[in-house]
Amino acid sequence: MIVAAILFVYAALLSTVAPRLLRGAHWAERAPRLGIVVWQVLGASALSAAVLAGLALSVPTVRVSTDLAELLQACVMALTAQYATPGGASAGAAGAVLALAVLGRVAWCTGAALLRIRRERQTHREVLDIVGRPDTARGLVILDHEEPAAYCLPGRHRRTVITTGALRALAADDQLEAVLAHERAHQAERHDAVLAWAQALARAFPRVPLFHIAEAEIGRLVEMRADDVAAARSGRLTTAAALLAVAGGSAPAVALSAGGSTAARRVRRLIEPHRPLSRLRIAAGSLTAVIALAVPLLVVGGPAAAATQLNYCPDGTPAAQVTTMR
Amino acid sequence: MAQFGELEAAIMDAVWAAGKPLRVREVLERLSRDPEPAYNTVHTVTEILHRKGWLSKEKDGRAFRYGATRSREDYVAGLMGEALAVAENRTATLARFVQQMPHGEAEELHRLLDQAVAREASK
Repeated sequence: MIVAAILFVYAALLSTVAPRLLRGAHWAERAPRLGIVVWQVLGASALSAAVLAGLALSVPTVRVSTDLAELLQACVMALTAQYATPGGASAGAAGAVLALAVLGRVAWCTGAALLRIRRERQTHREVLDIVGRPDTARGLVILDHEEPAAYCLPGRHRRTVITTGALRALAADDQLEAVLAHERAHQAERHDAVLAWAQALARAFPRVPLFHIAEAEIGRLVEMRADDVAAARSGRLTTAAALLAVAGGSAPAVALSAGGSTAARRVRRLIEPHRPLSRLRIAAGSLTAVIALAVPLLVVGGPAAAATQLNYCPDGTPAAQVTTMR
Repeated sequence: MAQFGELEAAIMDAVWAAGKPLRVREVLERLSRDPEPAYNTVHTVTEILHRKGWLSKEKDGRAFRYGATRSREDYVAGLMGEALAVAENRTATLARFVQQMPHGEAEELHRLLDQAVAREASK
């Protein structure tokens, strides 16, 4: 019971307080890859804490034994003991329902999101392959369109697409090279899968602040990460110029999010002096992430390990007899 | 069907370039492909495009004429609509390089960038 309570509180803190503290953190922009990992870890940790809390309620801690028959017997004994009382039974049932509901919801929403994304990509690609002009030398598909835009269609049959408007806007070849390096970084690091997962979780639990904040933050950070890769190749100012050329060409009525657009933040970040996070701080951040991920397992695992010292089976039970007969 | 992909694009190009419905024979004449595809292949792929809704089909004497149902620009506009979707619903379907930004913001950033480039050059 205490184990379940601790896990519940942990999951609740991760889902509500942690994202508010971390949102827009400056260090994440200086180490976007670490930032992405931290947001992913928060989600995974909160989910596993909720599932384990449910399991801890429904399954009592059982003495671990090397003898399978004995172990099963101990399980049965402990389960009957818990479910003999009405309170224990309802807590157990509620726990099981919670664990199954969380797992089921994640599986269902992720499956639905992946299917939808695959279908949308396929229809887009079918049209693209007929109306686009392939530029095999540069690995591009060119669309005849005035408005500057560049995007990639991720997945197994991936396409990098650029409009004639964007090609005209990009003043020099090295700016185009920056655009391509950015898109290649998305593909190499499977940012589409990272985003799909974040999006699925946000849709699965729309009321949990953690998941929709994580989705927005991850969306921003994968772009900054890809910008960094492009900048390492083509230079930070060249990459900033490429971003500006594609983003600021012809501005339609754009709904501006509070505090300036992500695009503007990305350009500023490339123009300002580059201050990547020190190795030491990245190591510290990674360690924190590992700990956050391990906490739910340790909370469950601790008592279970302690329980190996306990004898749940009273004398005279079949299990005890089996052991005595040996 | 994958091997028909390029031929589909070439046939649509021919029909769009002609600007009028074409017979399969005429489509074949306008395809500048090497090796020249067989009449039957072109006929099959044209039928596929008709079934997919890309081409309309009308009877003309003993043959059929195939015309584009929508212009190339229409399709491109449709793709761009998906790619540039203004709403902040981040779909993971496409990864766009950068979203459009308002004019004022872009001007301000151009100015900052020019200063930074000048600083870099004077170093």
